[in-house]
Amino acid sequence: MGELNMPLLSIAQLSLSYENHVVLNQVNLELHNGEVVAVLGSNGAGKSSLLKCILGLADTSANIQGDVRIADSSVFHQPHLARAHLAYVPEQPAVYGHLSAIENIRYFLSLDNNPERAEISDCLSQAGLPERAWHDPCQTYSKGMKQKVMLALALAKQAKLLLLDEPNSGLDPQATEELNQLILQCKSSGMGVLVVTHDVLSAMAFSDRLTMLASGRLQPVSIAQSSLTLDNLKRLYQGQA
Amino acid sequence: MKQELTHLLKQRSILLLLCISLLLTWLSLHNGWQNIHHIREQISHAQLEADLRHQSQQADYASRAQIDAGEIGYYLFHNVYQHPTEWSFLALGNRLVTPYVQRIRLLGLQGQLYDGESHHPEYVMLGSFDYAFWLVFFTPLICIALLHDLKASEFQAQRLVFLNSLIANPKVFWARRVLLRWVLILLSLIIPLVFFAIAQSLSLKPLITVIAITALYTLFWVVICLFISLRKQAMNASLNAMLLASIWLVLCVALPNLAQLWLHQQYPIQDGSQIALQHRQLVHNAWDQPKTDTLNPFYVHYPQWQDTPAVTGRFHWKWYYAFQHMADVQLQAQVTDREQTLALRDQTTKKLGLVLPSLWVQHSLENIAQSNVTHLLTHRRRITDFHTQLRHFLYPYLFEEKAMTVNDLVNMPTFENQASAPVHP
Repeated sequence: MGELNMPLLSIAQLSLSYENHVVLNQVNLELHNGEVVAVLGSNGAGKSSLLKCILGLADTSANIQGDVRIADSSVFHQPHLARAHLAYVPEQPAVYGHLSAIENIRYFLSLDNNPERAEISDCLSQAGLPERAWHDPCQTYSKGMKQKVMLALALAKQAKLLLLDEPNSGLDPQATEELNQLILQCKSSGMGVLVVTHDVLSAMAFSDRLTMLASGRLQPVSIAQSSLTLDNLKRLYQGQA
Repeated sequence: MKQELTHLLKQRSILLLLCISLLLTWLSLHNGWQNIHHIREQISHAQLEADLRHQSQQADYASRAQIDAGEIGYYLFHNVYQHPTEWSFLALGNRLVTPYVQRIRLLGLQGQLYDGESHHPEYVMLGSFDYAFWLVFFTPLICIALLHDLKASEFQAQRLVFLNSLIANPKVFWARRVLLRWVLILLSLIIPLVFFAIAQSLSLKPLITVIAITALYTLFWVVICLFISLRKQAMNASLNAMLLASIWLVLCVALPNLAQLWLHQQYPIQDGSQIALQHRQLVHNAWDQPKTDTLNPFYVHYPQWQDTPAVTGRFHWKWYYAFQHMADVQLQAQVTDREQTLALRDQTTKKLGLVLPSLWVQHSLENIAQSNVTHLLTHRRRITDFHTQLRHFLYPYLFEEKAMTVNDLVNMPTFENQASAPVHP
């Protein structure tokens, strides 16, 4: 019973600073299976630093305190174990242009020495990539299609936690909608999803919880659709919500 | 590894680069082979000509009751050949600037030896496109092209963090990438080499040594590329390429040339043509000197001929050959000094090779190809020994004025048989 309640992602008192510059200040966050949490924040708020900490790839010159655990494995002490549970989708889809979708996924899966844990073609179908494009070089893909390849990788990897960095940037409304649906699909399959974004509208569409990273602190925010005005958003991003 | 290989070979630029490497390796071997083939053809042609000439001369001598040993010494030329070995095509080295066929007779040796020295300026400046040249100067550029952006390309494609989030062990990941690139570069060099060796039925041991040298040299460059392209700040591919190109320029062009300049200053040698000129002047002067000025010093060297019949008349072969030889004797110190200096240069180059891999590879391949200074000097010593044998054969007929018939020519030393029984003066 205790294991069921155990958070998939647990960030406890996480602080990150460079000499005198504090980037993250005692950040706390818990994310459970089947939950989608959005981290909002303005440019330079520390969203990418937070993601790097969760990935266990924070700059070694930084001063880090606190702990980040994924499925009860510390990313600082057991990084390989912790990372085995997560899939990361960067802002710019990291596919190799000269490889096809299938080859990309096959290659990425080979990197952590894990055998293919789910049928790649099933994952690509699930991610919504048209079958006719599976064997084409990814350099011919749109950004939305590349995002789908990355999500298919997450599915193939059977990751428990999905980290998305600005997933909607550069996508047209239709691709954004498709992506939002995919995120909800991942959520319904029991995957925990952490989305770092500054797109409040999309975040509201797929998130169970919204959090705001401002001045190094992560705080829960609650926004009603009706109160979304430019002034309110400005105040929100300045940490005055 | 299979996935990494697929990933690598699907990149057209890498595939193209490897194909170019394969093609240029083949061309370098082919060009070297063509040069050696040309040398072999020239030698065969010269041998054929020499055989015909000897047959004609033999027929002429057979028609005479008695032969003049002086005429034999003067008119009978002996071809000496610097035969290429089976692996000479690897590094043409000195073969392009030293004669591979020389005609030697009983006259002063140094004049004949150095008269044939042909330093073709174009060859000296450019060298030849053989395997050694290709390996030493251009394969580092292939290594640089394939390895300069290992990390930077991933960083610039904003993929590095993502990859790090996937990689179980970064050291294994990068080692695998580097190893695969090195193996592919190596294969692009070795495949044509092995194919050549099989096609020409060449011996195995030198092939293994050449492969080992190739592997070590490319590994050296791979390690340098690794240091530059995997360092922490290596996120700019252009900067990495510039740094590596600078290192290439220093290690393959600047330092070897500076080393050569230093060697030429440290161990200066007299130009061979100067020795030939001096020899000619000594011989010309001897015509105008009293015969005793030539013969007395000669008899100091060869006392066994002192009590032979005296030289009479305006011209006598024994006087003629004595002043030819005495010109050699007078130049001996210079020749020895030149050869010792050349050997010293060679030894120093070998030592410099311990710190300059490009020099080490060049020297090692020239050694296998037997086209380096050591083999050139060995060849010169063989010619000197042959000339000494020739003198020792003809001197009794000349100085004791022994009658000579065509049957005596059977015992005439030949250059090809001389190597097994060297004679020192």
